Amino acid sequence: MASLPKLERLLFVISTGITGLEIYREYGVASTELKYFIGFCNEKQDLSVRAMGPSLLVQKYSQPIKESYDHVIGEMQDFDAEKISKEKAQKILLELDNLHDLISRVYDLTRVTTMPF
Amino acid sequence: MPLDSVYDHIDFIMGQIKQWKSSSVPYPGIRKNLVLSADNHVNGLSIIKNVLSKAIIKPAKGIQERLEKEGKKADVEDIIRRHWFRQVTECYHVVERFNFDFSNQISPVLPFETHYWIQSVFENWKTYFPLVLEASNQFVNHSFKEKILDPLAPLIEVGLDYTIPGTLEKVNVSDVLEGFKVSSGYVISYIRGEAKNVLLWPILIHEAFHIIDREKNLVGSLLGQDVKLPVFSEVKDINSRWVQEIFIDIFSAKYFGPTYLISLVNYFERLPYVQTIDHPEMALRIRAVQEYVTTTDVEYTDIFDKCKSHCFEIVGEKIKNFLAAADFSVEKEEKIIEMYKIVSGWFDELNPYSFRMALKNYQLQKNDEKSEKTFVDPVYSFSEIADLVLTNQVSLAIDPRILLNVVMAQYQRYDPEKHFEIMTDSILKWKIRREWNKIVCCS
Repeated sequence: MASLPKLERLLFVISTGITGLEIYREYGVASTELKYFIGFCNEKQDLSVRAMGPSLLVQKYSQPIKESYDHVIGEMQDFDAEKISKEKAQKILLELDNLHDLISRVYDLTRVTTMPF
Repeated sequence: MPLDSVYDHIDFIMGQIKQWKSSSVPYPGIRKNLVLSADNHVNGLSIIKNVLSKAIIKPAKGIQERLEKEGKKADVEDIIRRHWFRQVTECYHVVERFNFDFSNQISPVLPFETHYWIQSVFENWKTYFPLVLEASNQFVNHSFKEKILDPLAPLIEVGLDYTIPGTLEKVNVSDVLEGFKVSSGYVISYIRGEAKNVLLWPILIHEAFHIIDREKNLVGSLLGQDVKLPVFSEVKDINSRWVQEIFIDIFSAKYFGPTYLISLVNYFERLPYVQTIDHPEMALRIRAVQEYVTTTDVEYTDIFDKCKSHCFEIVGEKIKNFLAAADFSVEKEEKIIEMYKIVSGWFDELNPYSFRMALKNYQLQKNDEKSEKTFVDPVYSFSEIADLVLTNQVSLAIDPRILLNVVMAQYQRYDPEKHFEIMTDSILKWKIRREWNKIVCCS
């Protein structure tokens, strides 16, 4: 999880989900972004990293990220654009925003520690 | 044009990478891999430019048209900032990371000579992959595809079959990847501040074996033979990751030599961790490697025995502490020994160029008279190598594994100020000797 490319991928996935939900909420349209994100949530994603040892950030943030991630995945697996209310979409959006913040924090911290001092 | 400032930034970074003068790298084999890395990064930047235009700007224009049809005024830049600002920001960070990564590859802290040594691990497994080393904040390996293409996958995948919201109009971005190939190869990252710490150089071997495992499916091939490895976690996915990590440690130790144990203990002292889903507890990994050192003997030279005894003098007590802290049960002990036996047997069956074999070849080279022109070194004992390198400061053209094992076993005599250059010179001499002997033997 502390691999920058993996974190970047995850951030793009979440951003795509946020865009998809926003377009759904505002225009009532199930966009390609939303369909992609629902598809992502229904697949089992391998988030492992081939490193010598885990980073401290992983040990500190893995639990809250996992909880938020599992929650979003669970909500999205039930998501049906025909039946879900815009209020429900808004609720998932807030959770996705929270997850995006958490991963961004890990990303920023990881980036900072790669800097030469 | 929307996002023109972002495009300017990408073009600037692209220009910087293109301007890099490969002639600044003195070694052709390493230079070739860095040129490949430069091309991959430039192509990655081109893909980002395409992604921005096809998967963000076009759909935003679609929304703009839709709103205008409804009689609402809308600016495409505003729509992007409203719905795609995260993706734009993330693209910016990826661009910066490409720039940063490439800079850390072309201005390494770890000397270029060590690239040849790591590349030799692949050669000894009769395989070849382009490899570059990169100063970073952890020991980790990635393929170029993972570093450059995979982060962009969500944008590319969305873009490949994009329907403008509220319309049936498709945006065909299948040309996002056209003409911009990311060539295969690997990057091993190392901790910048540890680059000159030779005690951690064997960790590079660990990363190299992860790459060989990925390419040659070493763990999978063993399991495919109906071999039942011990179970360390009841959760199947977690267990397979832990088994893989221990497997790689055993392979690395058998390939590198007994002082891999010093390296492992040193690493865990500096970066201790509790077990995670990706990594088993430290004590399991230490115990597996300890079993290799304890049960291996090499009779035709004193190098292995001396390295082994010094190794236990240096880290013996620390190992006891690690094992005691882990509350090592009899059952766990039996499992890890069984694991070691199976994996060690598999390593021997594959017949790679192990440390044991490196020592044998070193010992026998005085009889190697394939050609008069073959460069032949005198064969030294453990203390002769230690004295030549650490006291007389002589660079030796011997297998870097032998050199490193002796130096690590005599680490109390090692002074980075005096000896670091001797180590890198030795690797360079060894590489030249190796190439020379290849030419002579094949001519």
